[in-house]
Amino acid sequence: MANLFQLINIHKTFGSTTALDKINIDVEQGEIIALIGPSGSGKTTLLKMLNAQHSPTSGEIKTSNTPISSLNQKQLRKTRSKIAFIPQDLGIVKNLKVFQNILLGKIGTHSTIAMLWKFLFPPKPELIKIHKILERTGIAEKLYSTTSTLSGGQQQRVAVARSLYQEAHTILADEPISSVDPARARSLIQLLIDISKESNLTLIMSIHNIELAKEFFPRLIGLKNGKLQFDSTSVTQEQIKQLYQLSDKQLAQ
Amino acid sequence: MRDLRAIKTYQQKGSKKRSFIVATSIIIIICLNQLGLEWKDFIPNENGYKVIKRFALAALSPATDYQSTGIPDSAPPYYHKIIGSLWRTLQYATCAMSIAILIGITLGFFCSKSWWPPARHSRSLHILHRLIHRIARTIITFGRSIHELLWALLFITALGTSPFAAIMALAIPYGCTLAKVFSEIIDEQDTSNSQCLKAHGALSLSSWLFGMLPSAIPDLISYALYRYECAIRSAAILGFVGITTIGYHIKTSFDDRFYNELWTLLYSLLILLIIVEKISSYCRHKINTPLTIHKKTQKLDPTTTKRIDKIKYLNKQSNKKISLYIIATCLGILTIIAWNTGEPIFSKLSSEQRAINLERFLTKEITPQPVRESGNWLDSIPWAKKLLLDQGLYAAIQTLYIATSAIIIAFFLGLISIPLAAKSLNKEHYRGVALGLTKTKTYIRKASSLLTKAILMLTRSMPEYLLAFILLGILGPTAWPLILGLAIHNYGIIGRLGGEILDNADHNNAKITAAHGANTNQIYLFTLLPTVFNRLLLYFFYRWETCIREATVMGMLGISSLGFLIKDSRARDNADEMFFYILLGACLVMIGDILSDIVRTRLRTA
Repeated sequence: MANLFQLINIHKTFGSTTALDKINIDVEQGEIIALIGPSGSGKTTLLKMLNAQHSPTSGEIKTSNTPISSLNQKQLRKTRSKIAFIPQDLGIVKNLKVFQNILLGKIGTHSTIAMLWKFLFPPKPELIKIHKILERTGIAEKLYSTTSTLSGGQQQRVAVARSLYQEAHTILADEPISSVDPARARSLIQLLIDISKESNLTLIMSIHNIELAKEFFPRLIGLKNGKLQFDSTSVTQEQIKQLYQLSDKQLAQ
Repeated sequence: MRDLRAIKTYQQKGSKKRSFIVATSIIIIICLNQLGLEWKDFIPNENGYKVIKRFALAALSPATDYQSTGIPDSAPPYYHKIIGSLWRTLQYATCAMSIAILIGITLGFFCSKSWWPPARHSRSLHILHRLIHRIARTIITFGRSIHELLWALLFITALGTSPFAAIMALAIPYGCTLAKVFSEIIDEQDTSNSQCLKAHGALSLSSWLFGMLPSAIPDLISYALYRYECAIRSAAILGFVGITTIGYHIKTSFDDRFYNELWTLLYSLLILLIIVEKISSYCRHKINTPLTIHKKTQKLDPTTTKRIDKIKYLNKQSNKKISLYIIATCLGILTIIAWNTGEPIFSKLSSEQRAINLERFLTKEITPQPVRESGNWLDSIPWAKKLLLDQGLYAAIQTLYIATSAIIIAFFLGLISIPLAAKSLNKEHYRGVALGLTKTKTYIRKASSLLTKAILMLTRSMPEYLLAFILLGILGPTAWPLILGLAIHNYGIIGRLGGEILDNADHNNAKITAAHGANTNQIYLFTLLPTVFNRLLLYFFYRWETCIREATVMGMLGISSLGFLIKDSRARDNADEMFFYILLGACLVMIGDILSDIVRTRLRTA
C-alpha cells in the first residue's frame, strides 16, 4: 500500500531553537494516529508540516510519493485542499453564519470571486449537503445561526463539519479537545474517529489526554523536545512516564 | 536588599503615571505662558458681561421668527430658513460621506498589508505591492493633514463657492481618514483564521477576504458611522467660509447680535446631531450583539421529511437584524435624495469654465509670486524662507501651544468625569458586589451620572470651531476661546470613551477592592484607573493629534496662529501665500501624527 505521508529525516529549527529533530514517520491512508507529548515538544509543528504550512529545515516530506518541496503554488493548493486542518483555536470566523463557515471548507478549490458568489448566494444542493453533514455532527438546527452564539463544543463541531464538507482524505487536528469538559471531549473524539472510519479518512490528532489517546487511538506517536520517543501500537506505562518527565528547568518555563 | 530592589522597580513602574501628570502640568504652564495668557483674561469686561447676559437669556427664548425688522413680507417663513440650512448641512455631509467611503475602501485596501501574498511567491509582485502601498499611504497622509475648512478654501478659490466645493472639501480628508483607520482595523485582526484558510489551500486574497475582513466589519461600520456624525459637524462649520450650511446662519446671526435666532439654530443643529448619534449608537449596539433568541412563531410540521423544507424552515426561524436593514435602506435613500435635490451639485459653472478656473488656479495663482515673475523655481526658496521666518514658524508654534493646552485641560476634566460616565460605577452594586449605599445616596449618584452624561453629549456634539467662535464673542480676543473651544469638545469625547473603557475593563481586581470595602471613587482611583491608564493615554495622544489639526484652522477666527495667516493672505488675494501656510499647517499636523504614532506604538507594546 502506498504511503500517504512519508517524513524522511525531518529537521526543523526556528532561529536557534530546534523544534523537530530527525523525525521519520510513515502514514498510510485510513490510519488513526494520536500525537502525544508535553507542551513545546513539536506536535503542532509536525502537524503544520504535513500540509506544508512549515517547510522542514532539512529532510523531505512526501505526500502520495511526491515531495512537497517540488510542488508549485497551484499543486500545493490542490494538495492542501485535500487535507482538512483543525487548529487549536478552530479557525472559524465567529461572526459568520454556520453554513458560511462550512462553505469555506472548499476555499482551496475555488477562485475568490466564485467563493464570494457561493458565500452570498448559497446554492440549494450545497445547503442540502451542509445540512446533511451538520445532522451527522449533531448541530443541524444551527445551520443559519451566527457562529459566535454557539457553545465551545458546538463550535468544534462546526470545525469538524467543515472538514467533512471539504471532502479531504486526511484530517489534521491540533488539540481540538483542550477547551471542553471530559464528556464533550470524549464524544468529539468518538465523532472524529467514527467519521474517519466511515469514509476511510486518515486522522492525525495531537492530544494531551493520555487516557483518551490510549483508549481511542490504535497508533500513538510520542514526541519530546522535538525527538521521536516512540511510534507504536502498544505503549507501556513506563514509556508514557518517561515522555512526560520534565526537568526542573522545563517545569519553570 | 532584594526586597528594596523589588520595591524600587515597582516604584519605577508606578512613577510613569506620576511623571506623566507632572510633565503635562509643566507643559500646560509653559504653553499658556508662551501664548501670553493670564487667568484674568477669563474675566470678561463690562461689555462682555452684557453680551453674556443677553446671550444666556436668549437661550431661554429661541426665536420662532426673524429677529430683524427689515425683512420683507415676501421672505419665506423663518422655519424654511432653518430647515433649509439644516438639510443642506445633512445633504453635504451625506454626499461627502458617500464619496469618502468609496475613497476609504479603495485606498484602505491598498494601505492594508494583510492581503499580500507571501514575499517568497513572487519577488516582483511584492515590490509592486510595496510601491502601491507607499503611494497610497502618502496620498492619505497628505489628504488628512489638511483640514476640511482649508480644503474648502482651496476649492472655493479654485472653483468658486458651490456645493461641489463643499462636498469635495469634506470628502477628501474624510476619505483619507477612513482609509487610514480601515486599513489599521483590518490589519489588527487576528490572523489565525486566515492562516487556517490558507492551510486549506486558499489564495492569499481569498483567505484575507473570508478570514480577516468579516471579523473587522462591525468595527468598520461603527467607525464609518462615527465619521458620519463628524461630517455633519464639519459641514455645519463650512458655513464659516461662505457655504450656506447652518454654520453660515449661525455666524451671521451672531455677528448681527440676533441671539434668539442664534439659539434656534444651535438647538436645531444639536437636535440633529444628537438624533444621528443615537441612531448610530443603536446600530453599533445591534451590530455587536449577536442574536441568540430564536422566535418560535410556528413549529416545524413533524411530518416534514424533505430536507429542503427543513432548511427553509431554519432560514425563516433565524432572526435577522431587520432594524439594521431598515436603517441601511433609509441611509441609502437619504444618499440618493441628497445627490439629487437642491442646487445641482455639478453644474453651477459649465465644466469648461470650471476647467479654465482650475487651470488658472493651479498654474498661476498658487505659484509663488517670484516664480511667476522670473519663471525660475529656485526663486521660491528665499520667498518661502521669508514667509516662514517672518510669521509662519511663530504661528505654527502658537498653534501647537493652543492644541497642547486644550488637550491637557480636556484630559484632566475628563479624568474627573469618567467615573460618573461609566455605567458600572453608578449602580447600587459594583458588578454584583453590593456597595451598601443608602437609597438617597444611590439616587444622588444616579442623578449626577445622568447629568454628566448629558453634559458630555452636549459638549461633544458642539463643533469645536463653533464653540471657539461663540466664546470669542464673549471672552474677547485672546487665545483662551480657542483653547476652551477645543478643550470642551474633546472633554466630551474623552469622557465618553473613558466611561466605555472603564465599563469594558477587566473588573476582577476592582470587584475584590469593592469587596474589601472601597467606595466607588476608591474603586476608580486605586484599581480601575491604574488598569486602564495606558488605554486612556492612547486616546490622549490620538486626540492631541486631532487637536493640532483643528487648531490649524482656529486662527481663522482672528487670533494669531496659522489659521489667521491663511485667512489674512486669502483676504489679500495671495493664493500663493495661502497655499504655503496651508502646507505649513499640513507639515505641523504630520509631525503631530508621527509623534503620536510613535508614542502610541510604545504604549501599546508597554
